[in-house]
Amino acid sequence: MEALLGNEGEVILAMGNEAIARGGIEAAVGYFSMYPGTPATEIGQTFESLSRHLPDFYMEYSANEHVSLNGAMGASWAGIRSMVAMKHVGMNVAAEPAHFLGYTGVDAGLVIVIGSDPGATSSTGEQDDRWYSLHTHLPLLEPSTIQEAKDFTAIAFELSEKYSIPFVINAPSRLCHNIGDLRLGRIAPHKGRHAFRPNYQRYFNLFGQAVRNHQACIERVSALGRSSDAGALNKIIPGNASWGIVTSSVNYLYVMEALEILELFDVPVLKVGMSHPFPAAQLQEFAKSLEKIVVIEDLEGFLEYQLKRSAFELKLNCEVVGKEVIPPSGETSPDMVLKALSSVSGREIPGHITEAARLGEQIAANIPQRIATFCIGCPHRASVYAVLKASEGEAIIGGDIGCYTMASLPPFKAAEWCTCMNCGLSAAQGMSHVGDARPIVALVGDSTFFHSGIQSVQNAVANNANVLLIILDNRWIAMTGHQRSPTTSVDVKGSRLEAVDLKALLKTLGVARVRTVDVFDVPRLRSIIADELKNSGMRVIIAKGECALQVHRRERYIVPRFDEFFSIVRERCQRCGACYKDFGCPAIMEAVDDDGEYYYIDEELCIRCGACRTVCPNSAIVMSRIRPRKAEMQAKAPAEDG
Amino acid sequence: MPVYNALIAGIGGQGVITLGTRMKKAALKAGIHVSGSERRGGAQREGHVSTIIRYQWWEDGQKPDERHAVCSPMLASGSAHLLIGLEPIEAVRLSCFLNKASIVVMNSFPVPSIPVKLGEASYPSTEAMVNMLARLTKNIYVWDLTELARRNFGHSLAMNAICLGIASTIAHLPVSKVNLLEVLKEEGRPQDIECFRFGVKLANEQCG
Repeated sequence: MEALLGNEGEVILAMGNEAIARGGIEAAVGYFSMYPGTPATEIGQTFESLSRHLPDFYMEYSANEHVSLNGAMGASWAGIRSMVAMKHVGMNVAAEPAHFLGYTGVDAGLVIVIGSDPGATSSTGEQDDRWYSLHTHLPLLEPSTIQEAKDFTAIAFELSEKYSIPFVINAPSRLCHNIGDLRLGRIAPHKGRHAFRPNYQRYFNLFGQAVRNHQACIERVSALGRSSDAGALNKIIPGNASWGIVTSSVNYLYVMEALEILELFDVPVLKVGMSHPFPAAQLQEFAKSLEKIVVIEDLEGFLEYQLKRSAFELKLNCEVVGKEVIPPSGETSPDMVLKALSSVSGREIPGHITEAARLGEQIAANIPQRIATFCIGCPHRASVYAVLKASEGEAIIGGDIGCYTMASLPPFKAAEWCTCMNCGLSAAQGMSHVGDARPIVALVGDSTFFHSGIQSVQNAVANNANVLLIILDNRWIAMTGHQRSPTTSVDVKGSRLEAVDLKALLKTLGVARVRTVDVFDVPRLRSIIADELKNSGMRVIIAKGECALQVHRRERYIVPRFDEFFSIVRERCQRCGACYKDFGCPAIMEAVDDDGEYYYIDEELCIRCGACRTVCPNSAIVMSRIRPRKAEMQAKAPAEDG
Repeated sequence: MPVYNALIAGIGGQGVITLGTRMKKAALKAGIHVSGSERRGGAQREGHVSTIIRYQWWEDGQKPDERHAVCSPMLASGSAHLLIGLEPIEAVRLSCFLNKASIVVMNSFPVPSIPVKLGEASYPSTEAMVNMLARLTKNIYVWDLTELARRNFGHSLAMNAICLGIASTIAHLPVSKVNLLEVLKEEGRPQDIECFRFGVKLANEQCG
């Protein structure tokens, strides 16, 4: 990753997210904060690994996006260039400061990077955050390539200062996770620490002053829209056809390739780099000889909406097609863009493409699905299994956001809902006041709990809700790649860290019944959950078990334990499926030989959590100090000799 | 402008992303452009993981222009030159990207998914999977790379560098063996170089 600190002119391999971080570094960013969220997480990881090389640089993983953006606002007002990153739904949490920042303005440049997720491949929604700009007023950049991801970020800092307003960079997952060559630019010298420069008129945004700030904000953004700064970020690729395309972001790349495949070399394209304020002047120039404009973009038609409004104001007399040819939900793809442009132009898609798409779809429909599941040795597998066994289908289980969201997938199918951060307990407590007699369980991970769950617990206690909250404490923000959580007590190298005492915190919030259990002892966890299901009021079980991936990583740094191996004794195994199907650990495999089918534990995959041994009703899973494969060979050896 | 598209498919934990990154680093050694998106949602969680590698270069005398100097992070159907499958069913899942000139390098060692374990779906035989792929291309090369890696190098993850060796020999990559070996050398794990050479040998035996 240190290649990202290279000199001007060097070409390196970088991910879109890394390029965004480099853009910040080139602009001498001094403050970075985020709450981790896919697909933007690697921006934070990049800064984290480079921070010790950056002069006068501060970064943090904040408790949530609201805190994160407010923090960056404070740093900007202290004269330090600041950057904050989040996933698209994080903007809902950060929406409050985002709406005031246009009014108050910034001192040093402030850039908000949003990783969007058309197709919702790692999110509970695919909302298009670009619409936020219509009411926050924040200018919006949409880079297409890895190079632009860097270049636009650096430019955004300059413009943010020039127009005294935060700039938003919207990067879809296909850009965030695009990896390719990147040419580095010059790193601007760092200005060092500043002091807060008071600006009472702006920052004390109240009453009549708020109204004046509002008006000033509208004027600043409209000045930006008319400026050559805005024009420089948009581009017209000329052509003589009677119709043209307006597009942005990664869709620009799909469009250019589709035009090449369809051999439409005369179609003009307006590539929008700054989509708010909308480039009306360029649209006027672009559209003057066109009969038809096709808008190609992801989701609900933000460009199309603004374009139609501009077209009306500019009295343009041309047809506009957008969501008629690209659906408003789901992720666009090169095939989808090809189809759209083929339908508009009447040009046929080459046969090998349509044929491959047709056959490929047929084939994919007839093979087994691959559903994501908990990792081998994951503490959540043990917890979710225990919850299911303890409740015997009688409890209502609310899910939440984190690795344990997969509790809702087969083989468990355990959680009934999952929408936003802390939807589990928050919805469960409401349900408990009016629902039927069934017990209600809410699941939450430790980091999601600290993101916004403390208030929910306090509310549940204050209103005497009847919910069993199970905090799945795996000690890390695991799903996004193991950022430190307030409960992280030992890092991967084995150093002790200050951690929050979760039990004491819950007691302070007024929870009377708090129990802590080791998840890998599944029968004990199960009986404690069964006990607590019979109780009433707000009670909490802290199901403790560190993320298996981190335990595994730490093994490289600390003195190894004695080797332990788990194996299934074939003579005792009844093939009941408790370990293989119900528990569903991917390290447990099935094979067949002369004596029939049997289950075994893949020695290479097993990380020795031992949970399966406590799950087996026939005591067929045993732990030994000898490698099972070696033991098997030793047992066979005499026979082979004879 | 010439483009070469490679795809790698597998499941979380098999090293799909690592293999893709190595192939991309080789592009820098060869002095050509590279891009391509990853699907990392299921990383570490036994889910489908895939990565796209798109090499792009200019022939002598060609001049980059705005209309053609574009390589998207994604692929249109039927446009992969190479598909590497570290897990067979995940390779088959991406068959929409194949055309009749595509080359498929596939590990035959199956990893059953949850629906298979639950008995809700059956895992096709290697022969059936090869037949599915053969509807699109005849250039299919299959080895039990998991077993070969375990037997020869003690760990299934060795198949990652073995695949790189195989691809460098049969897939007409625009990056050379020298470029790829340079990348492996920089990473500093000597066993990877042995694995790479093993892969080259496997490919030569099969095709030679």
